[in-house]
Amino acid sequence: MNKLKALVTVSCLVLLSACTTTIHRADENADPYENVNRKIFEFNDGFYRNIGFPIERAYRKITTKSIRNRVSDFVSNMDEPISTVNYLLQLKPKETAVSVARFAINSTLGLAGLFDVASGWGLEQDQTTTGATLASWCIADGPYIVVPLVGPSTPRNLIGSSADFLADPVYWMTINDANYSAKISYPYTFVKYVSKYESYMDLYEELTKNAVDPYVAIRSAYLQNQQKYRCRFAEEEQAPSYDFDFDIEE
Amino acid sequence: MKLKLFAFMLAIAAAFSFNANAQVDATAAEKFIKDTTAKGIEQIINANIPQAEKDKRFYDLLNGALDLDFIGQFVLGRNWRTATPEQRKEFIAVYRDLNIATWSKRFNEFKGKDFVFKGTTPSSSKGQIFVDSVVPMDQGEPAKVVWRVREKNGNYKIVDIIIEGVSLAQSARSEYTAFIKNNPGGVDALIADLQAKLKAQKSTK
Repeated sequence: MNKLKALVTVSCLVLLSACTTTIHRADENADPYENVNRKIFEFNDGFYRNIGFPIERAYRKITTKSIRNRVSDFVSNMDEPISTVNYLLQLKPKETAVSVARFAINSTLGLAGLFDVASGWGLEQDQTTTGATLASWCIADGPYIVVPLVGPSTPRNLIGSSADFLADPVYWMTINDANYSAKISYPYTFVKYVSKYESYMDLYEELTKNAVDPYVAIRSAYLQNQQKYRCRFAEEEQAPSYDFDFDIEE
Repeated sequence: MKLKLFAFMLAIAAAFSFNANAQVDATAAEKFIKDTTAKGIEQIINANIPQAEKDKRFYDLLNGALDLDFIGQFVLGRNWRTATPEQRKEFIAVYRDLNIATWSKRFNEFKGKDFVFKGTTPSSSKGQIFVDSVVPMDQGEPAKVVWRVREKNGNYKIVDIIIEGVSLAQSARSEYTAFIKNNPGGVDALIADLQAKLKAQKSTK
């Protein structure tokens, strides 16, 4: 019994300390491994520009906007159950219900997810991730890291995105059959990431084009975007992260 | 007695800070953003006019709506204090032109889209307020765009645009601070770099 009490006390302390470190300031304080991160960033930049983006441009060339929209709707619908489970774990009943309804409507009336019919009915897409679930349970994000090929992340999000990757229904439905894995899972995963990264390409180029320091531009945007996550045990309602003191001496 | 006096002073301070924030008229701030975006979409993007005329109208609209002197000073951070008057003038000039050129291009990408306004949120900074909006996209989730508006003498100006939680002012400040810290040329090198980017942007138009 005493052991249980001690365990609960330690868990609470860990959670509390996590709460205090979840929100980072969007600057170099969150980036203790900047030297290594910069090298990986340069490698990734070369990879995106020489391999990733040419694939995306080829994808745009061989498809029409309408085809790309169908692919993206299909991929989003396949990911919807992951979002449902995460909303459930985040204890958000309304969002969970919307996610269930979206999957049911789009899988049937939306012709297996090829069309996002639910959005037209006011059930707009608003997917969540395992990274967001970990954040809501006050798990600290840890330092800023740049992952080879993947890009900006934090240890918390790396665990989250790995879980999302492994939870992909297409991946686990075909895992026991090598034949199906090769014929369905691998091509699907390739198409999924080509579709997902299509919009990221424009964003990446936009963020880095006018940047005097592209590494800092991407880091700042990533860390600021991450601050939208809130620890559910935070004592009081926090102001939006972008409401920083914005005044100058006049 | 001391406690009472302290409580009274606290109440006075709270009342003053409340008044400071209450000065911003939420309806007027939202109307200002609605008018600015409507002008950009209706009178420039959708208008059947030559590109040179579009560029001119964009310049006038954005130069009037964005408080680029204020933003420019903020993004230079602590380096503003040590910069010479010439450096300040040169920096603001190039920052203004680069921002207007970038925003004209970004605005063009909103062709066929609309801003849906979602009310306002108070700001902790005196005389400022956030106007919340979303932009429905062709695909996927709508983009969240928040406008930070500053009121001064009854005039409203945009001091920051926050897209999906990313403040453009904060991003520029982080970037410029890092550039100046890592570059022996300091503020002059930053100005030269921005001028080169502006030139490149104009030549690719």
